[in-house]
Amino acid sequence: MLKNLVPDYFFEILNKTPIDKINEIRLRLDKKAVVMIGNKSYYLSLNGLTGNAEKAYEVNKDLIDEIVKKACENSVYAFNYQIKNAYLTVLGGIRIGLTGEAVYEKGTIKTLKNINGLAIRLPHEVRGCSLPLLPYLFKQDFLNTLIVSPPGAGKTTMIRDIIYQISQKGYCYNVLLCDERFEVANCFNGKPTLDVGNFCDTLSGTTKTYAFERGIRSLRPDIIVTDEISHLQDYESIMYASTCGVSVLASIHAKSLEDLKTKKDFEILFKNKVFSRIVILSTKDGPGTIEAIYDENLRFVSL
Amino acid sequence: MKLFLIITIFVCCVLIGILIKKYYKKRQNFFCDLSSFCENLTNDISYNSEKLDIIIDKNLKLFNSDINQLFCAFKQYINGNLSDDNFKDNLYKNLNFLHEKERIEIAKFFINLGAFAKDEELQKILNFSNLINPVKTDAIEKNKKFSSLYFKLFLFLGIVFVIIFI
Repeated sequence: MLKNLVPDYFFEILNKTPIDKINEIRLRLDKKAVVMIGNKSYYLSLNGLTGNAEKAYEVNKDLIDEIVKKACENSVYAFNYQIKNAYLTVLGGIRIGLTGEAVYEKGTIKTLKNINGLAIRLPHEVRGCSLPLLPYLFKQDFLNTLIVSPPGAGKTTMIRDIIYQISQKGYCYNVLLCDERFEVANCFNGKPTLDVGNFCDTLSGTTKTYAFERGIRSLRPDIIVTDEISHLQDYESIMYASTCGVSVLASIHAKSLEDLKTKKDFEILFKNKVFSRIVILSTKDGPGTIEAIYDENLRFVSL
Repeated sequence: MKLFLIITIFVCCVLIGILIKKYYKKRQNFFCDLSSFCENLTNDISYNSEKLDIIIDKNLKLFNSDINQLFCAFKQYINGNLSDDNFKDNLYKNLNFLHEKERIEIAKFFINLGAFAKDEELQKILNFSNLINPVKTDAIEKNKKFSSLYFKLFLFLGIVFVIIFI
């Protein structure tokens, strides 16, 4: 996957590192290239990983531009929606966060120009990572579940595995995946490139509001899954699904239950006790560490 | 022997005439197709935001001239099978009826194609069209004016040689 994304000379440099274990590559214009393996950051030098910044490889504009062009399949204009939202999702589920200068037109962001930083996050399918969690997520039916963690703690990987395990364990639930940023199933030409099992229908690139409303009407889902809910419209979509008798599996950025309570507008989900399971993940013992599980009354569910 | 020489000279004159005629015809067809391609490209990008490889595939089926050589080389280039230099070399080899300046501009346009946001990309295509259209008009005019003229001239020259030698 990575070979098709970066120029050959840069891939050769990456190849001198334990490339399969890399979680993240950070490229900032005129700064040293950094890779993350597990929770640790290392500089990238011409000879592999190093702790010495002076020996590290310095990122230039050509490298950033070439990666962006390759990530956009040589058609940057076709990825404007993603670029203006500061991300790109590449075949194989690689997620690239972008930094640059926003271009405004009539008060809204039209695109991002002079891209000067890339956070390349490499997906890892960790088959079975959700197995310790699954018994807590069912009580006759699938319980509305919220996965909570800071960025990079394995929310997406966990969600993907839960969807996969649901079809593997013979639950026969119809799962509708709202994959707004192509990160969970990573559909390419309509075909999921990451395995989400046999019972999953994927609506990619749409807003949660659209996917929830249209999906419930036309696809008869038992469970709707969505990644990274963040504002009132998303919360309202979840409220709507839960009042339609459809279970919801969602994820959100927060470090703890206390963080979650302070999130703007989130109280509508708390007040209405929408989520019967709130799972807190951390990176304590590596990404995907289950810290705690709470029920709808925010009581600790023993692990 | 004399008859063989006369026939050879006559055939050579006719062949030179045909080659010159072909040269003008090729240039006319190439620039007309390149101009149409720019229009298709503008439409596909403006309305469908179609990706480049799909656009090129569609246009490969639409045209039947030397421009297809350019499309094939460009497809190889975007698939990572040709470097910038190899792509330029390919233009030198396969499109030898182009002038040096034209080759440079065409190579530059294709190498940068797809590297910009929508509006910027459309502006680049428009600029390239504005650059290409006068060349196209010139190629059509020259084809009209010179292709049959040179063919007839060399045919006439062949006939003159035949008469002189007889």
